[in-house]
Amino acid sequence: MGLLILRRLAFMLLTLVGMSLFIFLVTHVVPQDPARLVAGDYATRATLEKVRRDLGLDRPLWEQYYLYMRALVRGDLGRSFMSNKPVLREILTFLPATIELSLASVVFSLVLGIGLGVLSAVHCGRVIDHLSRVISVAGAAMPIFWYGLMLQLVFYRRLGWLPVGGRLGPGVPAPPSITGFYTVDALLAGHWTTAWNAVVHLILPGLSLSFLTVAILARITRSSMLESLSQDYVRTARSKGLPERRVVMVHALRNASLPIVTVFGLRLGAVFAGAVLTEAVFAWPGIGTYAYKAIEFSDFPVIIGFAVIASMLYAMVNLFTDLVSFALDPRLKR
Amino acid sequence: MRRWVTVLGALVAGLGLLTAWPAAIGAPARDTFNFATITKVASLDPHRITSGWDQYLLAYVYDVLVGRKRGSSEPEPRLAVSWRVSPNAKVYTVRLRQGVKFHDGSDFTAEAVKFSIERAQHFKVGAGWVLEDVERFEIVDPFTVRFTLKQPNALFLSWLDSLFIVSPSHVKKNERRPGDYAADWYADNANGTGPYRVTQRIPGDKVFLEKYEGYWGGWQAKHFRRIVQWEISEATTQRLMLERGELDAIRLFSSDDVRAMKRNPDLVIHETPSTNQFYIRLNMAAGPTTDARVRKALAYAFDYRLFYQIEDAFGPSDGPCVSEFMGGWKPSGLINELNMARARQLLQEAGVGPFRMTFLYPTGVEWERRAAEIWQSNLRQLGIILDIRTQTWPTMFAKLVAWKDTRDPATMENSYGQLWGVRYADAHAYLNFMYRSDAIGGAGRNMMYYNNPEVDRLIDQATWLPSLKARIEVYKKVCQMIADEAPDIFVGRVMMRLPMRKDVRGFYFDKLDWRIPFHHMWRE
Repeated sequence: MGLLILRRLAFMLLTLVGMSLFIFLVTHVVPQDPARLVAGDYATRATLEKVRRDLGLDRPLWEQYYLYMRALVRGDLGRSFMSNKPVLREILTFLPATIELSLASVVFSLVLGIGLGVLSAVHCGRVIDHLSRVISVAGAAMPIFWYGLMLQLVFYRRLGWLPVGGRLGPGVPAPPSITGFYTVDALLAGHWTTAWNAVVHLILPGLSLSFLTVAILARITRSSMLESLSQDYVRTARSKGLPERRVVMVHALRNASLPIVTVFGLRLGAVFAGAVLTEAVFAWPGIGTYAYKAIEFSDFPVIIGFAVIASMLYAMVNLFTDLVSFALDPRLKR
Repeated sequence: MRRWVTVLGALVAGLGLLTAWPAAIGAPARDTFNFATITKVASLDPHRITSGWDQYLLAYVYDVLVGRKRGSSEPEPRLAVSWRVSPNAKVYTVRLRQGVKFHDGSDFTAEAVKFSIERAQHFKVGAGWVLEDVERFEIVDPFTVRFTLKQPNALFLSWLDSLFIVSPSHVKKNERRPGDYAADWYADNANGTGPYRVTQRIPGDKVFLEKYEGYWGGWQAKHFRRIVQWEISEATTQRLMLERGELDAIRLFSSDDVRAMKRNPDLVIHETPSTNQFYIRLNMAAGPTTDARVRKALAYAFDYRLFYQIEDAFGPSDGPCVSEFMGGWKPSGLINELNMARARQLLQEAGVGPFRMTFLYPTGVEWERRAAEIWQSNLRQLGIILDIRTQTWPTMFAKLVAWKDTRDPATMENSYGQLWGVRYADAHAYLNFMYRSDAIGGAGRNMMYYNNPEVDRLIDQATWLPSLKARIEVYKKVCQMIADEAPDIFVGRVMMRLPMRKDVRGFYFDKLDWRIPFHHMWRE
């Protein structure tokens, strides 16, 4: 197992180098002049030249990449052209908001997706099964931002039950930063109202981000459960007189969970990507909006830094998924 | 028994939720003005910001030496109380206000001005352009400073409206390394002499401002105590939050949104023409648009009225520059209505047959796309095929600038969309940056290669004239020459609009920029 993890980590390193090179080339080959954006509309040619020199944009491409990688080895992702602040520090500022949102979405996805899939399989061919399949198709068919807007219209505008903008309501101060997760930080600081406010602010964006995953998980859970429920060991469990809930949730679901875990692992990366749209719709100050702004501004260090961190997270999620799969089915280790 | 415990637990949790729920979406405090901006704040550093939106916020945190009177380009004392300009407009002696304190309690003196100049010159970017002409700066006494310029520049006072003043002691105290001018600290924090101080910035989310009791301009009783700027990039979200009262004003909305909001009795839409204009710039260096008759034909083929109907944030253009800076004057012969017969006639006179041309606009700017589509349908009737293309602004900008050197037919663009606003209140801010030959690939937006030595000479001449009246006379000549040559299609002038909650009082548009005058506003 240890060797396997080491091998995966080495592969992850290679992926990161490849990814950084690819993004570096893509961002630098496209004709763009970030110096103009940094210097402003009124900057003279002399100022523009100075800014290009300061940003290192006047050097040959290979030298820029070499310098970038040399700094990267030391954990330095460079400085943002936009804000002039270290990229790593900025990413660490924005990342917790995205992770918190993604985790909320994961909770919704697991509860709703697996729940619907199990119900659908257990009540196969009945109303609840049809309903679940409709939800699955609808979840996969519509874009994330559409769900976001619909949720806003219903739960914020029409009913007034849930908030839409940002991580906290107006007039609610941010808790002292420890982990960067407002829910956790507020609890640690004993600010119960703030914690509650943060939780409520997670509901609509979290739901919106989870729709597609819910749809996919519900379908995969349903088919996997149907297969499991028809196996001999389920019949044996029932004939032993075990309660139906135990038969379904322990015997059938556990054996059906391997494809669910694999698909869910793949979806986690997509959740991260989907966060960009959700963050825009719900004014969520996460890494998605930060990266989007960087692309708009040709902020090369931020774009590459974001790609490196995102690939790293994606690779780690994949590794974690594999480890869970091994735990569920030790035969896979072979 | 277990079931009853579960039911009871659920009831208690439900009641808890019901009592805590309203707090999550409650209305903001009445002494707080919440508004959503149009872009993300990149930095709060007064000497590094390049976005006008950031500048409008910082204008109430920092102060400048010389501002301008409300709705006018006439200079107004701010941290300066008076000034003397030498007859050749090269030496500016400025007397400073006494008794002004920065938010941290440090004193404002001539040293602060000197230090702010050094800091802006060190970064070069942002407000650095203001000081391009400064040859020497001297402190005459603790409350008098003198600028000596490299060349006569009658506009220098209006340029000073972009130079914010910082406290030297505070900057030095917050430096990470000696001489770094506390760039890191000032990116997220602020310390000025303006009516509000920054209490917190949550990057990508909000900036919190609080009333500065020691503001030198003084306070009347009921103004907003706190200002919160939200960064919300989705127009629908901004509108929903405004309608529910979580926000007091929003910056991002479509024409459809405005029409709907006008029907809402709780809202008011403030509007007035801005100094921003939209131009379709035509290639003056290559292709069919080098012929003035073709350019005019293309201008006659644009349906201005239809565009204003679809995009009601636009009204008729004043030509190369807005009339407010020209004493109300507009050039004659401006093309501002559809006339297909005249367009055909001009093309015939030019001997130009059917041709293909391109129009480039920045990705995401939907009203530019719509303008191009309106134009495209009319051009088709003239046998001209318009290829509408889009690229991100940085890519588009780099491409147009690079073409001036390569002149490669394969990468040539025939036209592109340009929105231009001004940072200082003078016609020079249009003419110098849009039409001067220096601005080809340099400062400004002369990216369709307009080059007229006489226009260059007149713009230079105007820069040296201390009298505004005399300058306007020169500007008139320049504008008329440009209008006659028709290097652009002067599509329209942007309306400034700001949807706001009706109970907010004291708001006014300054006409010349998009600031929200927080320190004059209150809630009824």
